[in-house]
Amino acid sequence: MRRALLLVVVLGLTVGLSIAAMAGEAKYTFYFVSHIGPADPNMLWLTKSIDAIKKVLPVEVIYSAPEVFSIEKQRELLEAAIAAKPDGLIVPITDPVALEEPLRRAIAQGIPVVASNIEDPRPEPEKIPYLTYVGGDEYQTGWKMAEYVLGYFAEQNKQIRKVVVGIGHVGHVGAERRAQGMMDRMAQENIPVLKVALTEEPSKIYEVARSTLEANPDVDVFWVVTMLATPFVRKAIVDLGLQNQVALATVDESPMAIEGILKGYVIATHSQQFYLQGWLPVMWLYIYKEYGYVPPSRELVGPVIIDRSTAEGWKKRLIDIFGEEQYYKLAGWEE
Amino acid sequence: MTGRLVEMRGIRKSFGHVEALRGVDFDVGYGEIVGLIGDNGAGKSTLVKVLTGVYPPDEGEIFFDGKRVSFSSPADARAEGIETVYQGYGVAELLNIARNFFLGREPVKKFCVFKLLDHQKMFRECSRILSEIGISVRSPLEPTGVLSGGERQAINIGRAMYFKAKLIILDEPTNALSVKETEHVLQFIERTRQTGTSVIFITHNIYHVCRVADRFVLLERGKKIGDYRKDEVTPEDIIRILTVGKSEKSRTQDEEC
Amino acid sequence: MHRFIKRPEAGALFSFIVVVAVFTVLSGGKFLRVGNIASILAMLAERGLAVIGITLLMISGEIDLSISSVYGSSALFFVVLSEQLPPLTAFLLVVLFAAMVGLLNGTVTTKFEVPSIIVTLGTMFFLRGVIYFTTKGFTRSFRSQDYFIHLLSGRIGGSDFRFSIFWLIVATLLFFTLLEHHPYGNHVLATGSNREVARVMGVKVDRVRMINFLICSIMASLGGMLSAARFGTVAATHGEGIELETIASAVIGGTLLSGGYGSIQGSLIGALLVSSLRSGLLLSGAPAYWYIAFMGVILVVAAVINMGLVRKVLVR
Repeated sequence: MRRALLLVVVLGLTVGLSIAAMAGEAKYTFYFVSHIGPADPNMLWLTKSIDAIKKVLPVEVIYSAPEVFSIEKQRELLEAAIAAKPDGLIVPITDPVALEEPLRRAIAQGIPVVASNIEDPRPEPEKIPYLTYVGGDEYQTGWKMAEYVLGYFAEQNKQIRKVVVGIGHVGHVGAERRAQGMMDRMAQENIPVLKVALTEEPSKIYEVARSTLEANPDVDVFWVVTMLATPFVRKAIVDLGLQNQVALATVDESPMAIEGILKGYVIATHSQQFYLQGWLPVMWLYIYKEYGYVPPSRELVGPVIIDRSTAEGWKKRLIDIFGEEQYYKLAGWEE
Repeated sequence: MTGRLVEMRGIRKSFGHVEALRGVDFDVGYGEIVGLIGDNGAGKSTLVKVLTGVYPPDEGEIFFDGKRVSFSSPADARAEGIETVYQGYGVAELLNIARNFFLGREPVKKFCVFKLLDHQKMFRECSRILSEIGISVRSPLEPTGVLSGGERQAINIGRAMYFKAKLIILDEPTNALSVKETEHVLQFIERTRQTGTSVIFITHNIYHVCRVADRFVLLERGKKIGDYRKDEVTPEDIIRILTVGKSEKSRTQDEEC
Repeated sequence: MHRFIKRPEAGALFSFIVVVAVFTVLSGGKFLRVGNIASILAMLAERGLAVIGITLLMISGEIDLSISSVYGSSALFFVVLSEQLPPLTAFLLVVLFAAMVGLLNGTVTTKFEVPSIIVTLGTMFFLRGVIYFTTKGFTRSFRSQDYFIHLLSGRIGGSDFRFSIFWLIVATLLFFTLLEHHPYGNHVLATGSNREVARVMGVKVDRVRMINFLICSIMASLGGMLSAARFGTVAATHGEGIELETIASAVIGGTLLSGGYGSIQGSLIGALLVSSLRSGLLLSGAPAYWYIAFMGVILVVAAVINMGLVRKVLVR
């Protein structure tokens, strides 16, 4: 009797430990300390892609972010992550000065760091020596959008007389760089670009867009670099009867932008392919730890310009991430 | 019927450990002007606040116009005909004189189903009062802020009379007024005799109240220490009693006047 | 007529006329195009309701900074609730919500004696946070054009003008009568001019303040919903900044920040001025990137002119 019991216990322990051993098969543990928290729907791109890559690679990825955007909180989470002695860190460099000290310390301890979504814009040697940056480029976003628009008009044998770039939050570094990219590319074709301070409040946005278009009857392209201003600018265009003259373009791959493209209200938007900003950093950390290969210093996964030809595909991807009901809820256009 | 407009008997009131009133009897006759005199902390304000319903007394009874009363708020007292004119002759400076005058008791006229302000009546009545008081240079439509201190005080007293007060309580009505303004106010108070209105004149300025009062009631630290008719005392007597004490007789002639 | 000239509303009207004249000339007439006027009036209707509410409250001596968040959250909840309920029902529920916010602001200010600027600043942040949380940065739209929504701010016939201006007129007449010709208006003025005097004269000052907080919130809510009806889409930033704009409108129109003086008509003229500034400047060729600097200058000048007039009227 006692022997049987002992056998059962030993067997049980063996089975249990084996399972534990198999579950703990994750060879490496990486910490992803982001600024994109649960209040930001873009978090879904990252968490879903991380789940996907965990099925393919033997890694554990722990995602953490503050509830609301806060550089201090992000830094605290980063310190906690470093203290856990992970095999790698993935961090958007929201504020290079604030995050510099802990990151340099981690790198000195031999923990590799990959910057995701936001890079350190400073030149070497001030720049934090992370392995690589995976993300988009705001200036390129402006440039590529300009190229797209030029091509779009060329196809129709039409000239662009004037471009308007509408900025919601004046002074916002990302928005300004986007505008600059557009302006520089257009300058090469001698096409004037007017930068407009839309503000971020809907009725003001409408008014500014409307007045700008009335004051400049030769505007052929209106590019909105703040996503939520889009429907209000569109309304101004429609109220002035300029739908056939003014081509509206926007940014980010929101359901509203995608549906807008499919409905013909918007000609194009961009994406920085968030999904890849979860997947690729993990992949590079694994390759580096496992094989020692070093990634390219900067891996641009965006911008990608989305237009009618690719909108359907994006719609599928969005529905996959957000769910169908949520997609349509957020995709409403009043018209 | 005792024939007194106001009768307060055995009033006691304490605030925590402080005994503000320690068994005070106080009465006012019809058409009588009574000066309620005492130093700061004597209990003058408290006594009057108990009468008008700001505080309930701990002990004692109050009779007004022959009836036993116990007001729960100044509004209650006002409804029975007791008007208080508070220290500082406050007015709502930005309102015009007519609106100030009728504040809280605005005359209305019907407009369909609504009761709207009767502007004409306000203007008319206020003009009349202004000329009675002697401030006829001002239009009722001017902001009350244009009136001087004495004029404001006069308006406040005039208002109490307009609304047919039986008793007007004046709390330090001549504080910080100029000589001329003080004169104005005192004359106006004397006019209340003509309407049979009674007045309680609270002050620590003996000379002002001596001019108009029929009677003087002296309070000291919550107790009544004197109740004299006008012909029984001189202002100097009153000052002496208050500074030195009732028991002490005349000391020297060089006391402050 | 002579008395009108001396009133602060005259100053605001004068400033407005000057501004319109200048814009018309500089924009080559574009400022007076029907489309632009209709657009300004539509914005005036939405902001104007909020301005009426805040004017009444300011006259009684208080301020409400949360109106921008009430405006925005009302617009948002109106759209979100209309997804499940008939718009009329959603509308009424939102009004109820605004009333509760007003009640909250009023209670904390009167019962706990915290200055209204602090209380309403707190409410403003809290509600704005709720809006961000609900929208998560995305916009929301009405599913379809319901007759009720059309009644709120749809186009009148085929013109550019909208029904909302009609609602503004109704509200203006109502509150003008209340302030100028009703005893309550007198109580409001007295409470703001000298609260203690009003209190001893029998005015229930705490009740007056409470009622005004309620009215202020509800009016801001109505303005927000008109805005939602016009655009059909609501963003998380809806209403941001209007607390300052409406207060500026009231001050330009002659309402005192310290309370006790003001008028509905003056505030609306002030609002008209403020609403015209953006389009006027842009149509006149002001730099599209930093035209707001000009807005600042014009607002201060208009306020200075008017403060001078107010002081003359109120011989202190």
